[in-house]
Amino acid sequence: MSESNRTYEGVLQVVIKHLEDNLEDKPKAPITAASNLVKELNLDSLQSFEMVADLEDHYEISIRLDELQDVETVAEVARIVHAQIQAQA
Amino acid sequence: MSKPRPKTLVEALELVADVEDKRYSHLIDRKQPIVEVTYGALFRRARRVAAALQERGLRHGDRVGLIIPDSPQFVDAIWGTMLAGVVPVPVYPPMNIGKLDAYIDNTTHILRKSGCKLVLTDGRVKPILGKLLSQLPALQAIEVLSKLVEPFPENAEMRPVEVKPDDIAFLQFTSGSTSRPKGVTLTHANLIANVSAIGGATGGISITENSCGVSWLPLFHDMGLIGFVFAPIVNGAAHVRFISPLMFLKRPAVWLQQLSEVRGNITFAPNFAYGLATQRVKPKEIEGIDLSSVVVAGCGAEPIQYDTLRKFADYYAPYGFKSTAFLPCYGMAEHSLAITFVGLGDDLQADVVDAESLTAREAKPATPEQVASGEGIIKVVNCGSTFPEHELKIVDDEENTLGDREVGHIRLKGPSIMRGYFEDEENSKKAFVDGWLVTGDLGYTVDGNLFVCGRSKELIIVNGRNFYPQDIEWQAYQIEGVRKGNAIAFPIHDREAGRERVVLAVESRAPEEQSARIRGEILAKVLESLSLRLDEILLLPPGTLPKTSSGKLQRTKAAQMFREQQLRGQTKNNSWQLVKHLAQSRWAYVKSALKR
Repeated sequence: MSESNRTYEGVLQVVIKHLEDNLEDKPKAPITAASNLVKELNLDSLQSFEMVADLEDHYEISIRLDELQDVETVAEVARIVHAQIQAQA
Repeated sequence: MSKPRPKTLVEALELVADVEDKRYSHLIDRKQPIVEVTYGALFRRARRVAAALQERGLRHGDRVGLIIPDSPQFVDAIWGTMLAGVVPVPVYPPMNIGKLDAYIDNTTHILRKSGCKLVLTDGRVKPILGKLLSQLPALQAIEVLSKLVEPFPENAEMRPVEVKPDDIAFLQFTSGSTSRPKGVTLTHANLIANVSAIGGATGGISITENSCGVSWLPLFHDMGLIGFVFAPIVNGAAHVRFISPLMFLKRPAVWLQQLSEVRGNITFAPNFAYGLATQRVKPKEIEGIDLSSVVVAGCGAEPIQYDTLRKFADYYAPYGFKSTAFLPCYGMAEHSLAITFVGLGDDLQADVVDAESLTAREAKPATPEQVASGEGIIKVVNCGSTFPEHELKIVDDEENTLGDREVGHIRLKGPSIMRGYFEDEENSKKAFVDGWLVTGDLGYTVDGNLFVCGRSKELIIVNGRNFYPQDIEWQAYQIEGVRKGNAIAFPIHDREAGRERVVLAVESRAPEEQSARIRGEILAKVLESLSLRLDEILLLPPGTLPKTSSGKLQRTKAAQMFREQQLRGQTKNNSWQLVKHLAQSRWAYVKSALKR
């Protein structure tokens, strides 16, 4: 994996790509950093678990589920993943 | 050698107080080491909790709420409260910060109804529960379990308490509802009867001192708590490995990996979990695992889909899984836990019946031509027979007992049946007819084996989670444009997806151009508050939904009208797809049969 993918911006793009590939209902507006996972993207709990598992595999990190409890937007997911990449670097 | 059968769960724990070679172990997170607790250590940890509760002034028969996400602590708390003769009331922990209001409402109801004097929790959950104290006068305190026991030495002694078989062991609040969960009241005698039957050699799964269980089931729910916390101690199993439920949902492979790692023999899960383990587990995650030790893979708690289990068996056959390990079962909280099991070692069996015959309340075997073409048939999984000393019968609407292959209401009798709903005379009365428990489920028998057709209650079960239609409807009423008191939610069984589709029909006077906005807001609201994705939302003109003469919503009738496409406003594209599924839905057939 190239280094650029491990920057915050790179992680954000990976999260967005995951959502674009996996969402059942295609969102009307393009997915952005500010998109709300539940209110706008209709992500249900199983899908969010799946997203976390995919991101863990992609970056070879491990994310505790309680770290994600307050997450509402795409950007917040990216921030947590990015922080975890740095912590485990 | 026959084991002494304890009369209470307390006695069961005391009998293993010196056992140091049998244990529970807890896998909480990949980053944390596994927590091992021998039965002897468990007894000492529980006694410490009991001593702390006694010091706190709790007495025999008082109720204590347990809201503890962490499994080792939860297990200490449940056994500790029981040792002190106190009645534990498990409440599910908050899963998601976003849905806090609904969570607090539900928890308040449970704690009020059960009259809890104290809530035991952990440091992370406690701040969320702060509001409860002001709303519940009977509740004296919310304590963090680890802080409560801190002043007591590890070998703390407690004052002896005499716990009798007829004492209440714990209250199991029926899950899923945000408005009216009922407290299933189970005595020690009930639970001992049920877990002894579960572990027994006749009709049960024959738990021995070599048995090893693996479970990711939530412990605040009956299948995990009774099946994997109580049953192993009473039956003297060697080891139970608990996996955090969230860990399983995130990465279903962990279930199979753990079964392989500890050479597990016994596991149980709802149907959806076997589906997840087939769809969401990648071959590289399970490379080298060996499932040949599994002799019981129980399946219950929601309707069992033959095809889901068959796919699981095929997927895991190369890893040593044998389909004879599948143990479909039927159970419910009001019957402690388990009601029927199939025979140990019997292969997965489905009764292939003529779908049309079910509309006449009959389960006629399909003809060879039908089986060959696959048209107009329904596969109903054999759930097995009742335990010794327990009875089951099938009755019609007039309570007449029916014969083999006649579809009707399932009624139960026996020592596992609850005393009633806690301090709820009205619902307790309704739960029994002539001393037989009303299950609310429909089924038929063949040679003493039970085949469950569906739920006659209105409960909607999706991925193992229970939803009451009222709660979904209530969320819809929060949206502008929806007529309050004019929404009906109901499940439609989708065979292809192997799950329930949830349909919400609402009446609205809003102009056409607002439809998309209303649908979108309802979808988001229900998802946000209940974590449930509605599969279809119908907007209907006022006066379309069926009601009784007194104005009560008729959910069953609405579902039937939906299937028959009599509800105006059904969009063609969606409905066609749905009608195709429904043509083969046994749920649809059985429901319409009972309407006749």
